[in-house]
Amino acid sequence: MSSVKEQLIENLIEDDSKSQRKITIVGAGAVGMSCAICILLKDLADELALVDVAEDKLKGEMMDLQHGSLFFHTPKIISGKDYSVSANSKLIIITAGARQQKGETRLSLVQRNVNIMKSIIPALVHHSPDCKMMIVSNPVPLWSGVNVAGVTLKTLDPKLGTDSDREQWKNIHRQVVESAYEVIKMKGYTSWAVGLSVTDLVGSILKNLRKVHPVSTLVKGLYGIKEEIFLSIPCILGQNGVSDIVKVHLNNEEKALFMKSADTLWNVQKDLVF
Amino acid sequence: MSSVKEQLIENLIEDDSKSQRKITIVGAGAVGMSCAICILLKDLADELALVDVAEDKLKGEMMDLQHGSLFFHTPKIISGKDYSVSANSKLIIITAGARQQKGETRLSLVQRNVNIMKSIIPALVHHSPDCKMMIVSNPVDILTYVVWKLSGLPATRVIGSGCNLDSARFRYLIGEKLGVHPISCHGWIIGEHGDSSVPLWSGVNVAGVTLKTLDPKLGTDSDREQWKNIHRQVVERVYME
Repeated sequence: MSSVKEQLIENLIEDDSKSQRKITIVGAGAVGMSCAICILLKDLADELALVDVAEDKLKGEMMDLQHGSLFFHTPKIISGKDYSVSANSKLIIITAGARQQKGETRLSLVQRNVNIMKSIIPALVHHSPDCKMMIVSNPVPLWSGVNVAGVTLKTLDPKLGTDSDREQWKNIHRQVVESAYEVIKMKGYTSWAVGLSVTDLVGSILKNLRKVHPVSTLVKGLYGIKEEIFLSIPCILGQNGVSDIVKVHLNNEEKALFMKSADTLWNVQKDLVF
Repeated sequence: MSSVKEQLIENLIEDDSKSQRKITIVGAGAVGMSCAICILLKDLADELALVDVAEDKLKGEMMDLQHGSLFFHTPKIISGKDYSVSANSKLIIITAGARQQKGETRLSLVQRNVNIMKSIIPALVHHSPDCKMMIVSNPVDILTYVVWKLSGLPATRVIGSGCNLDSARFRYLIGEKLGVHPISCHGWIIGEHGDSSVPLWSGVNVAGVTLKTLDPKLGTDSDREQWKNIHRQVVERVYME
């Protein structure tokens, strides 16, 4: 006797097609789930996979998203502890890692997170050898480029961003650097802004927009940097990932700060145990 | 000597216009913040206000949203413990309330939440006398009644989110069973949001084809395929809210 489904629907073709725009998010914590909801609401993926070690939490988060399916256009949401759920991903977003403690600098999280990555990355690459990977982590503002409608602020006031700047625009940069710490102090973590930011990048990559974003990329060979360091510079993002970089002209002070960033990172990197 | 702003920009008109589509969310917990991010991403408000009693958490949540301003189109996000931040809202979403404990029935939450509503509602109505109120806090049906009484607003403007989510879950589960997107599966759950909600099996249809016409036993205990389980899953999920 036929089921209700068989009486209702005549099947013509088996639906065995692979997803074309699959995104995997590793880490179902606040940042990962913020990325998930933004990606769903912006229609960026046709399949979303979530991976985490905490199985109950993971399943709960998956079900909570699935229950909202009526309200978005991503027909397949899956999850699992096993990395096989990530197979065939175009983009993998890594949010997994230890959470930044109050007062802890970003750099001091590093060794903890290196060990986590060792257990994650090889399996992900095995299941999606053609993917792009986006690492979400916990930041030298370029004052000479700050402009509104092409009018460079620094041309209006050459002291902009320096200590002798009457209006202390430098405070804005300080606020940016401190803002993450401030939000963490007040709500315990940050999630919304980082999720929105990641989704912005995901959109550029999956839609091959070739927009320019300041993202962390391999800068060896640029600005006199000799080591394998990743730092943020303006990059053109598209379906190949970082396909081009913009050659920014740094003045002497900016170059010095950039090099200082590179040195700080290298001092941590050179001692990492893989 | 003029500032960078004065050198850059010539002001023509003072920007003192009121918001036209202001939404206030009361309660900056998981539900309130989920409402907030969805509202922002769907461009539904020109101003968003958050209210909560936990001041640090509230400020942190507001700042976290503000920091994402580049990525959405809601230019004004404010927050505060004081209800004056809610003034001039078109819609106020109430998510505040005590959380349901494991095993606690909805109805036993009631007295705790009634007392919370007594401290919230009059101030909100005072600041936005023309608003609509949407109640999400549980037990939603009873609290919608309570808020209606406390607010003095006409019943048409006090709305409980009720079975909208139940019906959405119902349609998702039907969709999974049939291999069809929930938007094409029609099914309604009405009545109480909770234990005694009513699935209208006689209306469940895809493209106008009623499932119960195909199998008159659909949704009953003698149903071979046990479609009733779908409703049971929806009710059980409600306990996890």
